[in-house]
Amino acid sequence: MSLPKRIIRETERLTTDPVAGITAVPHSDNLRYFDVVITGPEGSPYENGKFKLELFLPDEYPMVAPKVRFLTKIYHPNIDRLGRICLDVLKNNWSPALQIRTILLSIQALLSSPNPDDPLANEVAEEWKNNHAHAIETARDWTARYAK
Amino acid sequence: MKRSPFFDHSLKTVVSPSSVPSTQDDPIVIDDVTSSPDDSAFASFKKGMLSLFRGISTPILEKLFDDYKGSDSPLAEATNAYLDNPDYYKLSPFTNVSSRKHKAPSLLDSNIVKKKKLAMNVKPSTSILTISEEPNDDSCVSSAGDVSDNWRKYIGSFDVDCWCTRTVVSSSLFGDGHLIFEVHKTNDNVVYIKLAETGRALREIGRVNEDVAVCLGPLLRAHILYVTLEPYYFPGGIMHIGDTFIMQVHCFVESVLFSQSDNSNKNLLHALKYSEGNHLKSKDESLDAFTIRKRTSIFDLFRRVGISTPAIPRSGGVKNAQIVDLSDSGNDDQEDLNSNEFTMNKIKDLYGTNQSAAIKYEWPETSPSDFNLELRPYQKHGLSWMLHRENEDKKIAGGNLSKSENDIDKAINPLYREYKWPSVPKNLKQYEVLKGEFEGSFYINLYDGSCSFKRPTLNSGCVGGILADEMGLGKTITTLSLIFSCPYDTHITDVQSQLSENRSYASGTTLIVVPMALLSQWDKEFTRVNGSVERHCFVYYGTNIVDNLPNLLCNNSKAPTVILTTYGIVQSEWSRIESKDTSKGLYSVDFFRIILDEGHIIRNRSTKTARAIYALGAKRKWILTGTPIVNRLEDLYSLIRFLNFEPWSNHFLWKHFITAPFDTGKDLPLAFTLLKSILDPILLRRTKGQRGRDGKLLVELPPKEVVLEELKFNEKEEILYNWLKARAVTTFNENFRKGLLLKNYSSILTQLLRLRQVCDHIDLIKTQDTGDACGENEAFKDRMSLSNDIISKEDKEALAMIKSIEQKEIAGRMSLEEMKHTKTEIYKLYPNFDGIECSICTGPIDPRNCVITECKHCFCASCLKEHFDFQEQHQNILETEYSTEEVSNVNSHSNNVKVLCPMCRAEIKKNRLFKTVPKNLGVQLTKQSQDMLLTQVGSSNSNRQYTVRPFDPYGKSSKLNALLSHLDQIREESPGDHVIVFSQFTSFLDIIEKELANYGSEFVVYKFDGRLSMEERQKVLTNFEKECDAKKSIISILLLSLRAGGVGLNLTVASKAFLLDPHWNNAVEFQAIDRLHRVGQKKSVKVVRFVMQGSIEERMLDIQTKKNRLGEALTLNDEERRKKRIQEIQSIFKD
Repeated sequence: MSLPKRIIRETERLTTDPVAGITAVPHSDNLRYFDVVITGPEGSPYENGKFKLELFLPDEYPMVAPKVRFLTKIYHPNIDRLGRICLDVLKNNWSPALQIRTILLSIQALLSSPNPDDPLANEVAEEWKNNHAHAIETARDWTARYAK
Repeated sequence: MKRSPFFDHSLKTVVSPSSVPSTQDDPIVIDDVTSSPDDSAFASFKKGMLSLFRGISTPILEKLFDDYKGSDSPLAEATNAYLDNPDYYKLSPFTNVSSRKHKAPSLLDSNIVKKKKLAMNVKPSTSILTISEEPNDDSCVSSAGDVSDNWRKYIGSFDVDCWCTRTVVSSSLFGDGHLIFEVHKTNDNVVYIKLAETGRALREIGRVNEDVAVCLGPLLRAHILYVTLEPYYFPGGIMHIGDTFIMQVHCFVESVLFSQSDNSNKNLLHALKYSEGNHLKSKDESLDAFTIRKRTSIFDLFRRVGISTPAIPRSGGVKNAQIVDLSDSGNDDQEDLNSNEFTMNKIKDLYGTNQSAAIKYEWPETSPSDFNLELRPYQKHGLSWMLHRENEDKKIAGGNLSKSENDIDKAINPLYREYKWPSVPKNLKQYEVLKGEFEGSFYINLYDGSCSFKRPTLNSGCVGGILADEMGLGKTITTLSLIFSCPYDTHITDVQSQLSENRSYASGTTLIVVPMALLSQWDKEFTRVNGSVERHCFVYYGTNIVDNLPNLLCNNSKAPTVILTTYGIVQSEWSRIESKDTSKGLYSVDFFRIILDEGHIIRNRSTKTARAIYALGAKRKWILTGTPIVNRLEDLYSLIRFLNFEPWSNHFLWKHFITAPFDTGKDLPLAFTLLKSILDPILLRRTKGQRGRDGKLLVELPPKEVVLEELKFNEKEEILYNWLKARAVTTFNENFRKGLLLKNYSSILTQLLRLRQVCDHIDLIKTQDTGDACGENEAFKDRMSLSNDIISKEDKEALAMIKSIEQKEIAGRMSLEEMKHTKTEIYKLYPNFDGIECSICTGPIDPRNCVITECKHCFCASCLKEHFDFQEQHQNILETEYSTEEVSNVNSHSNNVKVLCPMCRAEIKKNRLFKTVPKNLGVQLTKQSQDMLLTQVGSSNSNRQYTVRPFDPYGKSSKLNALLSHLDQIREESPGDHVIVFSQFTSFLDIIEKELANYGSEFVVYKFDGRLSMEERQKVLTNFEKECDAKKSIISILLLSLRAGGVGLNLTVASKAFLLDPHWNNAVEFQAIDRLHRVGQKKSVKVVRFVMQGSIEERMLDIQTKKNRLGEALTLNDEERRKKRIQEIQSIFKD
């Protein structure tokens, strides 16, 4: 199956007009598969961390959302141990008007403002709510340890 | 063609009045009674009848004469009566037989009656029944006549099962007595085994099982067969009634079998010609029952004794001699008949073997002179073959074929079969009576069972043949090369006498008859290859028609080499001649050569076209066709008839030997071999898949890809389709229950037609376009008009249905106020679309193809449609998972699905969308559309480049939408391309044409259908072939009606095609595809076939595959075919 024009255009734009703190490079053998690196946003416990993600565009894209997953271990109430992300635009709120770029920006924003009330990793969320300082500390620690 | 005289007095007449046993005891006395007038009448009557029905008995003759002597033409009447009701005449015991007995002999000229021949049948009844084992039994030999050249020859032995009819002590059978066969006095099917002991009367001990008795009885009675018996197996001790024992029978044929063969073929043909004129229905009636029995018995016997035919085909010629391996065919017969695929496989074999034969035979490569084109190697072979068929061997490269080859080349008369004399076991030699040499083979007539030593050759009288190369192999070019190699007749003198006297001979002109669509193509090809100023081509069509053809063609050094005309012209001239009885135009000359392109057009011999074509005169006749058999074997007959291929141009013979066996399955292997031997010499067929001498494919074509694209109905179509289908199923079931299916066939077909139309476009229902339906069934159209009332009533309902759907749609739309308001806002928001992209495909918005939502976001029409489709499908799946299945009412699922705008997530609805229309096309559209708002708002603001109007994403048909998006893609990816769009419905092509016009200059659209005249067709094709400018990203599109353009056209300029609707017969579709995928195509070909999912079209595909598998068309007649269709229709309605 040939690559839709939209994917080609998006890929081009990601390189010609990159987003600060985000890189996304397609695999040479599968142009629907991207290696993504997101830099932890300033002021968050993830600051200075370089988080690796994988992003895959299914056949139905852009009718369905891309599949995105953290490869780097991260301590975050909305990201589980497998790296799966709880983010509405990746699920029910996906719209074909959204793009790779906007999705990655949303993920970056999620790092800045975790939402422990809609958790994916329950233990982390508990910690986040009940012992906030310790949770932030752990997140920093993990960032320093894993997201180098 | 001249009819032969009513009957031929010159033929030797064989009189055998005693084939009816009951009258045998009346010896014929030859005396010279002076004939009374009545007697002389009877004499000529009898002579005539005998020439027609050899072996008809005198009593029958007398009865017939008495019945019909008063009529104007007693002979004709009597023949009819006899043929109509032979059993009556054969079985009736005529009481007045003897009334003329004493006079009858006077009618038999002594030169006609040969004693030798009489001997065959006229015998004292006692001697007939006794054939003793004694080798020197004079009564037997002499009873076969005192003719000195009598002989008897061993042909083989076989075992016979017998059953005991009398309790006997087995050992008594091995005494000094002999066992003999005796045929029952009147019943040939009963053969006794009797014990002949010296000094005792014959004692019956048993009977031969009936299957064998049927075979032996008639032969023994006729003294054709002589047997000696050898006990083979007897149960020990006492044999009881009913016990089985086995005898070995050694068989010898008597010379009688051979003595009768000399004129039989002529006689036969003569009889056949006559009988055909009388529209004989049942086969074999021209032969009397005796001959038929005899024939059957002989073949049965030959099979039983396992006499062999020469195993190796006579090599050297393309014409393979007719060889049958009898022992095999007997067994195959039983097994293969049970298999449904027998016929089809065999027919395939037929083509296959023909191909291999043609290839193996190393025809030299002949190149024509004055020819501006280098032929491909296989075309050169073809040319050599064609020259050979025209007896122009001198012109074949490498000179003459050797004489001997030509001799063998002369095919054995296909009516005969060759057998080898078997060698005689030593112990049986004593029984043989030999006269002369019995080496090699003998030949038996398959029709009347008579035998001959001489190899019966056949002078078919047919110069020409059938060039049946597969489409795309260049039949046209090969044929033209033949014309250039041999443009005029070099031996005029000896020809003229053969042709009819009142026509002049156009010795340098070839007439080519082609379908109208191909006329200009032939003209063009001729000009292309013509390398000589002396040759030219005259198109005999339209204003070019001249009455005085002889003036133009005969004794004129500047006569055109080729005259091109159409089947239509030939037919109309023929009808004129039929009525006025004057020969004008094409019928005023005899041509040097006639070539029929797409010759299967004349496949039905009763059509006017076929009869008109038969009436054309020419010395050499050729047929070009890619499909010599379209539906049935009968198709081939008409071709052979045109070629005057004797004896098969005789329909009776053809029917008897070819069609009937294939229909009934009886004697199939024989018929098959025969068919092959008929076709082998006159038919040359090569296929694209064949490899030439160099091992390469004959034609290397670029790859071809045929994709089946399944489309989904949109809601409107689905509702209408389901409604129509439900109605059709009801009608069908009702008729099925009442058994009125065949009667209401046409109304059912109409309903199927409606279903197919909905698959294309809802609007087609409003038209009377029947597509191909009437082509398949000519009566259909007539009945259509007859039952028009009903149909139009049904259609009115359908139309009302459409209307109600559309009204419901409108109901959901915006009010005019809302619409006006939204439009103003849109105009404010988007002064133009520069720099705005569709958020779904991220491409720039194209005002020609842009949809704006109620929330004023714009998208590409196709992108938003995809979004709608995806959401609907997706949510439907979710719904069915959660809720119990709901019976869908008209608007069910579209109401339940909530689709959100990709940009703002506001709900959007399909019937509340807008589309933009670029200004430069506005003029066209305002004319078409009834949209008042468009003109109001659009004209008020003139510097804007677009206008807005309401948009219905499903307004067009699903197929049309799919086609448009394909075309768009082609335009983007390969501008300058040529695309062909096939449909069976010309009104659908009209709709597409209209729709494509909206795209302005991007698509250059041509339309080609049956409504165009000759000149218009040519213009369309020439224009379409013109290069179109790739830089301007334009593509040329040819809308082609499958029926008008599916055959013959050469459209290699295009490499992409769309088949919008499936045909019942997918050969038709493949033919259409081959318009592109043929010699000259340089690009790889891509074809997309559209099929609506879950519709009648899918069932049609099923039927297509089934058809291919069974090859049913080959063997069915019209009625059967119709029944078959009903079954097909049933399968359509079955769920």
